Amino acid sequence: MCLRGASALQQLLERDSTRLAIIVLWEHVTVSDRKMGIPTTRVLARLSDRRARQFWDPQRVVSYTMARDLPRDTLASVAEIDSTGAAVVWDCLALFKPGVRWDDRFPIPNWGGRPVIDVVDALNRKWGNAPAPADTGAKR
Amino acid sequence: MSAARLGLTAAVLVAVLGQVAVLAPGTGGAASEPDDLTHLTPPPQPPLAVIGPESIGVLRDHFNALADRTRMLLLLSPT
Repeated sequence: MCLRGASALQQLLERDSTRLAIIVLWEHVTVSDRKMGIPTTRVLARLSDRRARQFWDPQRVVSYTMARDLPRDTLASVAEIDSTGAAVVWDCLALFKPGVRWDDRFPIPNWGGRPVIDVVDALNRKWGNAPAPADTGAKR
Repeated sequence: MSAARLGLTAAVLVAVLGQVAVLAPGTGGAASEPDDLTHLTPPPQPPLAVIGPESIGVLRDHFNALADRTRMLLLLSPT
């Protein structure tokens, strides 16, 4: 599901030329992920936009940080609750307006959701013919 | 060369060729594609960076360094 979402997002980004920074975090969530190990060149190629920087987070540090710092309603829009009751932030997209900083706590996104494949559909409608990612009305 | 020895040689050759066919790319064998063994980001992106509890600051610094623009954050699993 994540890879389908990544490919759909790449298609959307190819039509967008705004000043945007894309931060991609790969993490293991499913049993299949753990068999794969480090994301391969083929996986990393799903998001080929030149504005992107890709990270590998094998210990899900960012997911844990977001689960710890984000308000419950925000977390609900980007996380899944696993079998142990813990929130796992994955297969999600979040937008942060210019000026938002990550200081002591992880910042609250201005817009976001999951799964990515659905969020891309929403972004397609939101940006329409005039992509304006800085205009962030929260989906949450 | 005796007929028996010729037959044995042929059998070994068939077995070896069979193994080669199984390992050859595109023949349905279990061999990995070259891309499965590498972890390269598409150019001109910087190389894949690994983050952990001690290095999450690298990500935070990158996030803050780009605070003059909208940032899109994605958390994905590789399957």
